[in-house]
Amino acid sequence: MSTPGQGRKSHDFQNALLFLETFPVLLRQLMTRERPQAEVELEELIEVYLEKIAVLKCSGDPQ
Amino acid sequence: MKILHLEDEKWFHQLILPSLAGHEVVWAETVEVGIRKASRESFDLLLLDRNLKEVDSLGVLRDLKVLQPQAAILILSSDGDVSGISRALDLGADDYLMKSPQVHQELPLRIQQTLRTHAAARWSESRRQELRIGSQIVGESIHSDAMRESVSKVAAFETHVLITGETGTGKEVIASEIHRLRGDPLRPLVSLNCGAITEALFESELFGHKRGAFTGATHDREGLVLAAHGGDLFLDEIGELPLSQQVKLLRFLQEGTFTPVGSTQQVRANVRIIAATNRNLEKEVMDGRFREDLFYRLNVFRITTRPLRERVEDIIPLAEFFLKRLGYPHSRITQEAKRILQHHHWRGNVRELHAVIQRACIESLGEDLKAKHILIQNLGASSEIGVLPQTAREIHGNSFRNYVSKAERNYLSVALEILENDTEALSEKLQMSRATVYNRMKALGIPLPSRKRIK
Repeated sequence: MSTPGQGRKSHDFQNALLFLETFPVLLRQLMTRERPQAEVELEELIEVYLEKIAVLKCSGDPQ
Repeated sequence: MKILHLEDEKWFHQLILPSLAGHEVVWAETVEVGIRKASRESFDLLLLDRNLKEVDSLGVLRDLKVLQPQAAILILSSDGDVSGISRALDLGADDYLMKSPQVHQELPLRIQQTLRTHAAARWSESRRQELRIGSQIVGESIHSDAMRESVSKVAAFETHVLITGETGTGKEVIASEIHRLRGDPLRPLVSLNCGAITEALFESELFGHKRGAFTGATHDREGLVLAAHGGDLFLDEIGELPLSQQVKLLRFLQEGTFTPVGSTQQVRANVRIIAATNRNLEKEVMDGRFREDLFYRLNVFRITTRPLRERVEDIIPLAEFFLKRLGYPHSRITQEAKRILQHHHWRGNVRELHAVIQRACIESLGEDLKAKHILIQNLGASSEIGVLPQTAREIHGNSFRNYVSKAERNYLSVALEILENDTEALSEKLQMSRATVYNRMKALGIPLPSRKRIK
């Protein structure tokens, strides 16, 4: 049985994977935006990307 | 449509946003913002992340349900935690969707499904409430809801109705509701208890007679069928009708005409028959005691009333209804008294409950009904005694098991009442494990006490 902490870790891992899988879709969506707004959102998206990579590196597959 | 999306990951909100094009979408990144918005604005749909960080999503769901009772709720879950999703659905979420890489494509269709589910649930609830208002069928169980639904369906039709169920379960009330819901104050309702009339008198009672038709027929008499013309004829205890009279009733049902006793002229009458019985008519047919053709004529629309012990949720509403009807609208039933009522076996069904409440009203002298006023122990105990064999033929495995299980049920019911439903104390005294006691109670049909008592 998993503890609440393990459950959260597993959820973060799944969430990070989902982000990476949908990353191309998010990028395509950005391309439809006006430039200044798109630049801000791209920066945010890259930040999330790095965050999620860190999650994957730290946790590995908890299964 | 106005949608509130409670999601702490902005990228996910942006991922699904194009799928929600054409709708007014409000995004709440935190629970505080979501609750604030839900308490100020009205939404049609709530999209709720089930895996919010450091917050119990189910608690948030409960709050949102209170703030936005009209809104449909779709849960978005990033894991396959079945019990979590199931609890969310129990708490009022209408549907859920897994967060997959295709979620943005699946979302529009799932939203349509969620809205449909929500609308159906709302309709069903409002229909339940609507049917409860003014209905003589009292109760909050799903069985009572089903009975009200069946009655409202059939009321408008001229179809014959067969009501079956144990004695005292309210078959006559159902018949009178079917009649009432037809909504015609001039429509007659005529009743005949087939078990209370002699075989010789049945035909004349039902179809009438001419003067001189038999000894004592001093004048013409219109029968109950003619009195019910254009309306309803309630034939209670139809299973008691002798075979010789069943054929006469069948002829009328087939042809719509009858001949009064001593007359040569046929009379036409348009009557809807509502028949009731506590007998198992299928078995009566098999045993040759009830005509099969008459059974099929009557069994066009069947309503089955459930024993009171199978609809425990109805006991207190019924008891309160009787209190009001008996002229004690301000008397309340204490929790302890309620518990006793809910845990009794009610072999006499609603009729027994009515008698118990009537007696309790006398005992309480118009004050609140307390446990000491609910005098059902003897009633319950005496009705639970099994039958001892009288002859060698009656000694067999079934009769033995039946006797023992009745005695066991009786013992456990009384013991539980004495111990105030404390199953732990009972198991200690009987030197049995709680699980054994619990399983015996279940097997014997003894209502299980509230969870906290079981521990």
